[in-house]
Amino acid sequence: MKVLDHFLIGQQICNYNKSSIQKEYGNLKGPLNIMWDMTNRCNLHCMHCYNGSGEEPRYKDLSDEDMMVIGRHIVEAGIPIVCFCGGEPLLRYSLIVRLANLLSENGILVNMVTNGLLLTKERIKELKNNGINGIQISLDSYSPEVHDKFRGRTGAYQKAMSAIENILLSGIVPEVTFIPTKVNYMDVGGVIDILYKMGIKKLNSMPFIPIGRGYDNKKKLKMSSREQWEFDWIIHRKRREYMDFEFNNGDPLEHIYLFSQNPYAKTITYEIRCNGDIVVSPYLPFLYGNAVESSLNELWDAGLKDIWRTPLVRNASERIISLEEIENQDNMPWNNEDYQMYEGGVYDVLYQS
Amino acid sequence: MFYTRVKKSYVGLLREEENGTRLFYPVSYSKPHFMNKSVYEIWNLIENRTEEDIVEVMKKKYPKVGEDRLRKDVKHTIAYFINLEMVKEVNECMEEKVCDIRMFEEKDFTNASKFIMSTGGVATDKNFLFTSNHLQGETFKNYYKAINMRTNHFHQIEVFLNVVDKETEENIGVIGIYVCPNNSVVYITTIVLSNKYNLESALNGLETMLRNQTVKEIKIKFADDSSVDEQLFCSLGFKKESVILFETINGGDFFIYGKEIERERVC
Repeated sequence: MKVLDHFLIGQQICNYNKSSIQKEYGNLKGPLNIMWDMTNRCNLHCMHCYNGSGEEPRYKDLSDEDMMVIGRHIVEAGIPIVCFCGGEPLLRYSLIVRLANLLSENGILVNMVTNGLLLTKERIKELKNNGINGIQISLDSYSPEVHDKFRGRTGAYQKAMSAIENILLSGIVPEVTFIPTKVNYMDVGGVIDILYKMGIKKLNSMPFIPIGRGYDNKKKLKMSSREQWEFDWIIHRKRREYMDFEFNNGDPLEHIYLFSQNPYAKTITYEIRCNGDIVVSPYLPFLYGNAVESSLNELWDAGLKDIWRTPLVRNASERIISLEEIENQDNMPWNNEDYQMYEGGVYDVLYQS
Repeated sequence: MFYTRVKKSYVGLLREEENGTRLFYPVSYSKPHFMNKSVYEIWNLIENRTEEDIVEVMKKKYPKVGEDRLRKDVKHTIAYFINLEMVKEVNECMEEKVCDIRMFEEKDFTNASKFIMSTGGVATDKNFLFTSNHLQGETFKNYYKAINMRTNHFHQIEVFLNVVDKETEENIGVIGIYVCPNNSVVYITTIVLSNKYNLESALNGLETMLRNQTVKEIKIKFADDSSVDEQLFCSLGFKKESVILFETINGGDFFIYGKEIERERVC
């Protein structure tokens, strides 16, 4: 009987029931994970940047102390996973260390995204010691010229490769990301070759989304359907060549589909902008409150938990079938055309940097 | 089977006579003939239509006339004109459009979904429909919702392609394929064509696309109770390769048909 019980319990644990998981999303008291922009400043000028980061930021950074307030709000809300994004987070290095320490000490898994330009061996060590769990670096080509052109800076490739090597040496396997565009899609095979030789057996990818600076550059970047087909077949061939290599293609619309179809789900993810504004989805122009002015739990209870079921957001999400609709929204995200949904009013918000 | 009038196969039909008939001389048998009103009406409907299509039109126009009677009239009239070589059966070569296969863009999923849904998941005399054995009713509708098509396409579970009329640039079908991990075999998992006579051209277009990617064989898996005409695929170069017992949704067998992609095509 004991053996049978174990067998049955094992089956219950192992059976992944998507429908049950989706229903559990209805019981959440907070999001599963968040992206937190440390800054909108960046030391690169990437052609495809969805939030238009660069030397001239669109959104004003909060002070270090206000950022620590948000950190404490995150701890209070018990959010299991936080990713430091930007802009380039390492432009606020000392803050990152403090925040990583605060969050990880409270059991929160902290990851970060970086272009690697400011990542030294010493910094990797310090970040790791202060709780940084995962580091994501972008690599857009095996060719320095192509990568540098894409990122808007000579030397970006060398720095990215150096960062990847140093992260590996620290004992962390970096998450490497490739965004295919007209400019670089043919190079994905070469990138996979390089990573495999380095012992990295995974490449993350997602489609180019023409918003932010990407929208301005879309003619140069947006792949044709034939180019997309060719890209897919390069991946097919590489999967055949390296049977243990994982090409992880993320669908940016997955979270939107979830909410447009799932009547139970609470808000499982959101982004905190560098000025504290809560961004409901990086691809839609909806905000809900500010993480400095209100605690995340307050915002959650006030309506953030069910924000996807409000008529405005729901209608927007139901209209999204493909990236075509994201590209052709009346109000574009990251363009100072957001709707602030908090405290009952729905009005256009204009931000001054 | 479609029927159509043969051009320049008669002289006459210019006027209605006093008793309502119309005089004509078939080229093949140059003696005078007369069509009565009913025959003339049916004659005018014979233009790329099936017998069934014509019966439907007549039923709507003459709701009080019994269907059996209408059906008999249509059948005999068509046979009469075939004998006079004024009507012909439309074969594949005559009806087939030259098809192009185009990769999907992001914006194509909505229209493709509508196109597939318009069939209601039901094969007719006119269209060609092949989908997975288990997709019926609500599961069919759910599977071919635009966002689900896109998700499957995105994750390479089923890659969708448009079938386009080369001349008019009109979308006339959707094909779905699954690329096996070895990249040498591709399964066709969905075929929806507005006109079944475009099947050969569509498959030729697909073959050309896949040949350029070093795919060696195209396969298709039918359930034993599928309405798809397996003989039709055999005529297009597919051969029965294997049987998978007891695995259909109803416990029946699957048949796998395969076609090697020719390396050099003979036109």
